[in-house]
Amino acid sequence: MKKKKILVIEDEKKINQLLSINFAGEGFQVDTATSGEQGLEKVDKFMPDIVILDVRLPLMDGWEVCRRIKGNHKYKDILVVMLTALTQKADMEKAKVFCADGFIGKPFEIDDIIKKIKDMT
Amino acid sequence: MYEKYVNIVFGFLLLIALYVINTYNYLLFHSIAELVISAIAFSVFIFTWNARKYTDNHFYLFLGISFIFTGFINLFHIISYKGMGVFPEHYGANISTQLWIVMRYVTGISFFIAPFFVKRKFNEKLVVTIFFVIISALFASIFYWNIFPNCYIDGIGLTRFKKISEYIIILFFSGSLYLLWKIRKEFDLNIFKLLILSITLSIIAELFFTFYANAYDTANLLGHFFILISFYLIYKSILIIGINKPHDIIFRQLKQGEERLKEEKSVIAAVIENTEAHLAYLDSDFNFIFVNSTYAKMNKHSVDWFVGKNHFRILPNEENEFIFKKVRDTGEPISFKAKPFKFPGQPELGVTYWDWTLTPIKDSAGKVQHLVLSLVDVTEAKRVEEMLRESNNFSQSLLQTIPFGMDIVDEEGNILFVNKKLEDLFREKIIGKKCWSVYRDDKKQCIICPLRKGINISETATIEAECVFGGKTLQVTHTGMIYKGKKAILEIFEDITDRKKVEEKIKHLASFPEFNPDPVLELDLSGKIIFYNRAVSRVLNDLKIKDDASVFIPKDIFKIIEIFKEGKIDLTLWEIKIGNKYFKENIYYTPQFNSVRIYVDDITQLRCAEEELKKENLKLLESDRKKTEFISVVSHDLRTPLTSIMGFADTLKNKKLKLDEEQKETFVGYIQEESRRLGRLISDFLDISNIEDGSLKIIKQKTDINQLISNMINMFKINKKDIQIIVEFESNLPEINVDEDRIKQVIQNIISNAIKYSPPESVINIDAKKVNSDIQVTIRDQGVGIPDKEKEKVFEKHHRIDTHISRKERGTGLGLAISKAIIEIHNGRIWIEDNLPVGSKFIFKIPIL
Repeated sequence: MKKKKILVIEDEKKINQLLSINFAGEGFQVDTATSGEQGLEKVDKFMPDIVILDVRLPLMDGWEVCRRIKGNHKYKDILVVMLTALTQKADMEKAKVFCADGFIGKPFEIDDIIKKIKDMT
Repeated sequence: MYEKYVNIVFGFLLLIALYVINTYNYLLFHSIAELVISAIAFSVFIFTWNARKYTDNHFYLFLGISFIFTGFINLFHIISYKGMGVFPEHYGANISTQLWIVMRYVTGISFFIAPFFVKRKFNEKLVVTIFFVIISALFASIFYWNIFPNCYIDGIGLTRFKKISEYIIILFFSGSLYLLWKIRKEFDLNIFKLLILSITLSIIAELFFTFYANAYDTANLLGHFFILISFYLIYKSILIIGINKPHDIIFRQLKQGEERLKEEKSVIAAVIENTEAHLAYLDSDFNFIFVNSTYAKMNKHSVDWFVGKNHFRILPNEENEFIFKKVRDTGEPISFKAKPFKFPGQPELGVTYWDWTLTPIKDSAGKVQHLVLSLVDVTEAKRVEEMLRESNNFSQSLLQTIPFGMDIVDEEGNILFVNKKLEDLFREKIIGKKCWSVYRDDKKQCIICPLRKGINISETATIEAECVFGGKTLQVTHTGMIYKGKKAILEIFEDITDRKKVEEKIKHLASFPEFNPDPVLELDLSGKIIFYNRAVSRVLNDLKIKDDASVFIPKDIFKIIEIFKEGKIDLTLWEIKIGNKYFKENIYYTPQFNSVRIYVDDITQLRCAEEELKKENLKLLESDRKKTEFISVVSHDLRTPLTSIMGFADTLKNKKLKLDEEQKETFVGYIQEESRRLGRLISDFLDISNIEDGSLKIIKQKTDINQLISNMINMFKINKKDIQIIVEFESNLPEINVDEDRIKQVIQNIISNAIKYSPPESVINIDAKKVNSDIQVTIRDQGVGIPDKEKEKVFEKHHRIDTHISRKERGTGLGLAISKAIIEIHNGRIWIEDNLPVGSKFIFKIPIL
């Protein structure tokens, strides 16, 4: 079975590193980006199955990145999971509007997040 | 008949005889002819003069008087005739011709004047005197003064004067003919014919006399013949007809009178037939001799039917019969006004009323032979009168009982009528008095009184005035009218004393807005102020607005009035602000006064409290919002390091990952780093929380600022960006009383920010110096700088400028806010300036002791 590809877009390098190591350990092919622009580049090149996308990004925020991914027919099979500390209702609603496929709140347990991603794929 | 022929034959014989005489001796002919003429003239005079008392026609009398003078002149003419030898020979034919002309003038002019006296009379003595004077003067002009124009000159013949005179005389005769023709009806036809013929012959005779060459020729002869006939005809007309048919002349007037009488009779008959009066002519036994058709019609019979019938057989009535007998026996006429009568057998007519007169006609012995009965049906008039009386009674009682005082005043101001109510008001007799003497205490009344201008009936103008009579207020209404056929004024007095009192009370009540402590304004429907009370002035004064009450009118007043006029609402609430004051306005529509009233209420205090409350509320809302935001930020900021710590701890524990030692060490380092960050965050949040609820504790001590900076700067000397930090001290700076740790915290926050935003290997300068009574610390960097609009905002909590600075370099976002609070607690100030050419200057100052 082909390895599932995960792209982590998160400006906090520590979180990037954390998720890369753990998902790689679970048998995923992982790539990371630290900004929205870089993330979109990598979506095109890497064609991930899942994008873990931080809401709070400098310049282009996570919602905008999500909108662009979902707005492009080319990426119709890519699942987007939003990552944020803002575990508020408004964010959840926003996630739905932008057609995000999942939602992970901070702080998160590594086991939980791995389980959630695995369930989705 | 026979007599007439005799006259004609005699006349012819006379003329033939004269002609014979003429052929024998002209003088003899002339003398006889002229003597006959004179004789006729005298005869005419004698007759007319004597008949003057019996005739009204002075035409003949005037001719008669003129004839006696012409007769005498003619005698002189005869004796002065050429060859008579009475006057000296040198006069020749001239003197006789002159007399002749005088005679003809007199005759012609007399004939001309006479027709004017057909219907007029004159004083005969005066006329005789005038004739005498004129004729005497003419004789004198011929015989004494010798000024009369020559008429005949021997050897030449007739003078121009003579001929012209004849023509003039012809004109007079012609004029006479014309005048007689106009009044021909005044004459008996035969007399008139003779007169016309006579005058015509005179005219012909004159024509002959105009062209005779000498006193003896044929023209002269014929002239005399015609004159003779002419005079004869006059004689005939007056003398012969006058003697033979004297009554024709004398009683001519009488005849004319008779004719007039006939005419009058027919007029009377017509009147009798056509009059409204019922006329009957009765004999002394009351049998009808005659009734007129009106009378007959009334009794439904023909006129002839009545003749011979007895009045009381037809219309039996004892009372009337008694009256008739009384009139017949006493001979005194009697008359009644509106005497009632019932027609026997005609009950449907009911009672009828008659004005009647019974006049007795007496014979020469004084005995009553006939009676004339004249009846006029006044039933209708009586009925109308009755109705009028009723209606008059009705109006009288109406006038007397209506609750208004009333009078009627004529044009002179006499009070003609007063009703009871008005009399009661005055408590004295005012009827017959002059209105101004009664109403004298009312000056206004007299000024507007219509009597001053004259009463105009066609104008039904009503004038109202209020006046006060003895404590009572009356309202007077004048109306022009006709009263008893004269122009008058009907005055109606209404006692409005009570109404007036109520009005006064209302007025009193209405004055209340004046004393209303709140402003009240009244506007007309164009939005113009028509009233405002003193409270308005007071408020304006308080507001220091110079008496312009229009500030109280809402800007939309026209719209409001429009809506009012539509009638949907009559009250609206409005709020306006004048100066720093707020007013609530109740705006009422009062259509009965065509006005809008504004009741103003000062609600400034209320409004201020409200505003305060609003501000407070907003503040609360804002702080609530901020708190919510703060919590969300805090939770995020705390969660990020927590996630790392937890995540790496889990990762380290995860045996599956088979981490090498280096990785393990890095992750442990991460956990330490994030833990510290978490610690910082927590202390910052604590600080800010303390600052916000005012419980931030500071412990002040005397501090040397240079020392402080030197001690703490070393920790920044070695940094990842190799940024050089240069400190410049001013020596001998005074000490300041501050919390050393807090000031260190401030400087630390600023420098770490500066390092964060500065490019690698740039320079950060720090200096402290004394400025006035402050110690001022400036930290300059060569970083990206801060735009002006952000210079204040960076001191707010969690404010960040969008930059490319990555998250790991971010602080808590609270540092500058905490710094500002710390400096302010020390009574200092912190601000940002641009560091030219590039970077920012963070400056704070703290007062020295």
